[in-house]
Amino acid sequence: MDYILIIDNLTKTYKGHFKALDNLNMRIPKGSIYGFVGRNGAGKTTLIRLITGLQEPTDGEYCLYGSWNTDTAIEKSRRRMAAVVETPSLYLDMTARQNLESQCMVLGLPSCESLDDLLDLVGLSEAGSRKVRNFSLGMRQRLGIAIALCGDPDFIILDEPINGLDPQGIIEVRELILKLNHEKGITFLISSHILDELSRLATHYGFIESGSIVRQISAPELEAACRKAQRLRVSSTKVLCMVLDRLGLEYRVVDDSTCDVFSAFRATDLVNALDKEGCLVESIAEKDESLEGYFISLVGGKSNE
Amino acid sequence: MSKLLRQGFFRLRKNLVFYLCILFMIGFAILRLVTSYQMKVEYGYQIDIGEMLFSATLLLGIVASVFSGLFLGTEYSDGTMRNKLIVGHGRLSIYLSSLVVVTSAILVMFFSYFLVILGIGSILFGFTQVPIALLLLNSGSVVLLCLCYGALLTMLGMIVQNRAVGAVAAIIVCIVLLSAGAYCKARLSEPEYYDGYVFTSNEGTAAAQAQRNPNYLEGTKRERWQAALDINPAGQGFELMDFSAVYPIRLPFYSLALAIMLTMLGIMIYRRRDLK
Repeated sequence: MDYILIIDNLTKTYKGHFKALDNLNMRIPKGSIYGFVGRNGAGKTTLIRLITGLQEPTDGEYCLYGSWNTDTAIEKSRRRMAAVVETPSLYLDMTARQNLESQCMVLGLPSCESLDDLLDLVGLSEAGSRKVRNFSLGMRQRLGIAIALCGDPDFIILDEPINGLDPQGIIEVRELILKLNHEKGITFLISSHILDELSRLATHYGFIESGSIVRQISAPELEAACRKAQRLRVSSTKVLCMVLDRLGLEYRVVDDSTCDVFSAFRATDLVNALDKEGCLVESIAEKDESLEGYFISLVGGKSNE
Repeated sequence: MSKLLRQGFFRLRKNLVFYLCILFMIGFAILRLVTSYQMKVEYGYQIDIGEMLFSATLLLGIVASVFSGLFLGTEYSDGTMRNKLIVGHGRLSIYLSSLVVVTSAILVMFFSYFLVILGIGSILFGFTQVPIALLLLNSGSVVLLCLCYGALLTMLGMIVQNRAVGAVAAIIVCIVLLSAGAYCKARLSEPEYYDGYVFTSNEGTAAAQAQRNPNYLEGTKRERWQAALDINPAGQGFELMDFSAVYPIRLPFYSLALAIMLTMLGIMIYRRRDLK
């Protein structure tokens, strides 16, 4: 698999003792929409600040499009990247079009011919000559994405892109991201804690807790992990497996005493069959896990610190 | 860096505060001309526009600090500096391009004043009697003074991440420099002797001899105070405005040296900064 971003043991310490990132490892596949999930203060924005060059890591390294952060070539690789970190970076006293022109100059683009297309793409063609100061949050977010798209990047980082947006704004941003990913093959790294929304977009997930990635998983793997099932707690999973095989039911062993059964079954038949084999059924409970449930089970249900 | 310069000047052209500062300088020039013209008409004073040409050097620091605080502070407050860093521009290029743009803006502000005085003043009062060589020397010193202010204000603007704090800090620094300059100038202007006098009344005549001023600075002490006035950009403003510099050749060198030192210090701090 081709990775556009490889992060190895990245550490960031503030004021000599607070570790915002602690030996973090991550791989972002090319063409993916990578959902970056974590609590407030888990280290999401810190990681984004490091890979966008706003801050330098204390230890460890990362490789962007084949260039390590310690090489001078990283600056060239960054030209293939764009980001909207926290809030869109816009000159409020300029119009939307002037903001795009300004970014074209930063990128050294010879002409600004594609600006109308960009404004059209993000649904701001009617607002191009309006001052950004008068824009709604959703419009600013979309303009921020348009600015990110100015240099035709292959990789876009969005930090909390739907924070504060109304439902219509959320749908518009989601559709824009999917369109760019499908039509232009742009890879996205999206940090968010609105998990329901993220689950509609992401093809891969990385879960961060206390500055470290606790799991990376693809969307199909997550779907399998979150599949609707009956969770059985029994005295012997060995006997349970034997009975489930005999009944032709699909299942997955979780641990020595727990098993998830995905196929539909009559509880009485299964309990009787297990009873005959001398296996006690301690509980049967429905398990219907969402991304949110998966995240909580992964990092624990502690409140934000 | 050329890309950043192009963008910086594009932004400058769209910046309202920049135009307001230019308008302020033009307004100041017109005020100076009107009051001088009144004095000429009402009291018959002989006005030489040379006395007015460089008066704006006093105000320059304050006006420039208002502009730069808001202009550079926006890069942090609106997060637009990120757009430059993220796409691979180095911090050195970002810093130097900001320095060039801010210095250019200060130059434009000063010369807006200068050209109004020179243009309209020459029509009203005739061309200045100040020797051309001195005018050119003063103009060159002002250009480097603008660079010095540019370096100072860019440093403050680039290392203070909060726009309000940065703007206030820049204004306070310029006011402190102006006050220090005024104090140095006042100390250096102390007369060596108090004038003697003769007092006559019905009881007779009393006379007092000229007395030595104990506050008069001399020797090494005077040289130190003079250096403090010359190094301080606001102090230079006092000297340039009325051609009173004791060592006019030194002023541009002081400005240049200070600009280089401030820029090096600013770059060093800015490069180490964790940006948000």
